[in-house]
Amino acid sequence: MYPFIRQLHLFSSLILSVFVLMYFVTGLVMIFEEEFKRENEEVNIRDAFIKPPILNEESLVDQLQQKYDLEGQYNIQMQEQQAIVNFGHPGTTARAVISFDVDSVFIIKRKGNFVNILHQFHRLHGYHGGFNYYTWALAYDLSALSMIVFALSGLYLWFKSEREKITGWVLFIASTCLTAATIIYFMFIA
Amino acid sequence: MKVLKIIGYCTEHTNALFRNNPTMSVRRLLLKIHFYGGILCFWYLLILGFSSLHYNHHFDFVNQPQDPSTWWHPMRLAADIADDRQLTEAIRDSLGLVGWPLPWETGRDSTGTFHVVVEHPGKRYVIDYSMAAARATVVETPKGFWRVFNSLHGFGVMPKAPITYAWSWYTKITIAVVVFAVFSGTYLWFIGSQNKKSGILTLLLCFSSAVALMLQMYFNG
Repeated sequence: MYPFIRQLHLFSSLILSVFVLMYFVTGLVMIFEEEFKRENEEVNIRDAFIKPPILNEESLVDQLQQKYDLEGQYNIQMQEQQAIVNFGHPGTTARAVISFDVDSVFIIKRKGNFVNILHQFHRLHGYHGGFNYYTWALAYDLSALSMIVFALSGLYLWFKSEREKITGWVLFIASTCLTAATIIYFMFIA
Repeated sequence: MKVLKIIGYCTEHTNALFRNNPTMSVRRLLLKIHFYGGILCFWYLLILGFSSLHYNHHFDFVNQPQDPSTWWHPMRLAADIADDRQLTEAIRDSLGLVGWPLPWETGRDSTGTFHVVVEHPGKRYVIDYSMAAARATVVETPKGFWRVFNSLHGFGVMPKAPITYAWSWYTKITIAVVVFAVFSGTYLWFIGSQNKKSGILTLLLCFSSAVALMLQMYFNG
């Protein structure tokens, strides 16, 4: 059992080390957010909108992607006279507002600065948007699972390999108390 | 030059420490920090793992609706608080609640009742404050264990909640420990392993694939 857990701990960290590091470094930037400037480059485009022959979500997105070079994951809000499509990938976000009544499209394209790009990498998730995004979402899931695997297997490896356990127990009890106290505080006290 | 001198001094003294204490080696020291740091961050790692999976899959059981309870409290605030934000904070504080007021859900209705929503990871309070009746009616909705557990991912400091200061430090310590653990773990494996070939191959393959994917997403979306 011990060698298997050790290999699991080792190889999951070797496989996912870059992703895990990326999440923790970008997370650190998010925690110290106020220290960093977040000014982005913005480009506005106003243009006539030519309705595609069949007006549905897919044709709308296709047309926007091809004509205005918009990329990444998207979400769409269709209303009677208006459609809003948000595109996003690490580095660039875009919002296209199409007014059907006056056949016009207004696009705001934002090129994020370095900190913004880190934010977008950290927040990127969901199984939609094409092959790259599926691969990313899979790596995201594996990184999340690896957190649980690291914690449980690490605790097991420590317990099996260390003779002097007092320091470990003290730290484990301290972290358990802090976590339990915070959860209890939010559930019952605050 | 001064920096080099300091590094030289530290190295010399660290070596002396290990010479005098044969049971302690750099490897053993790194392993101990790796173990103890990991144990300290055990619960945070579980929270990060679970909440990240939830962000990707939106588990139904996390967002199970809970039963609200309604209570009221007599309240008479100074009538000269004109600013909605100040009034919201005064209402929250006089009710003894903690949490963030939601500005987009704050406002007055035609009868003059002031409507406020205050939230924190564990509860949502919908408050109707009637100045004429001098009382506040509060609808308190608990969010349940899993939403609290999930909300602790990267949770910062919340005003008037001292325990969140400790949690915010726990967050920072976890980040430092995990970054250290990635490097120290790789180093410990590298110096201790007999068969490094498969590990190095795995590491290089995964490292280059991950970097290539990030670059691809940045440049091509």
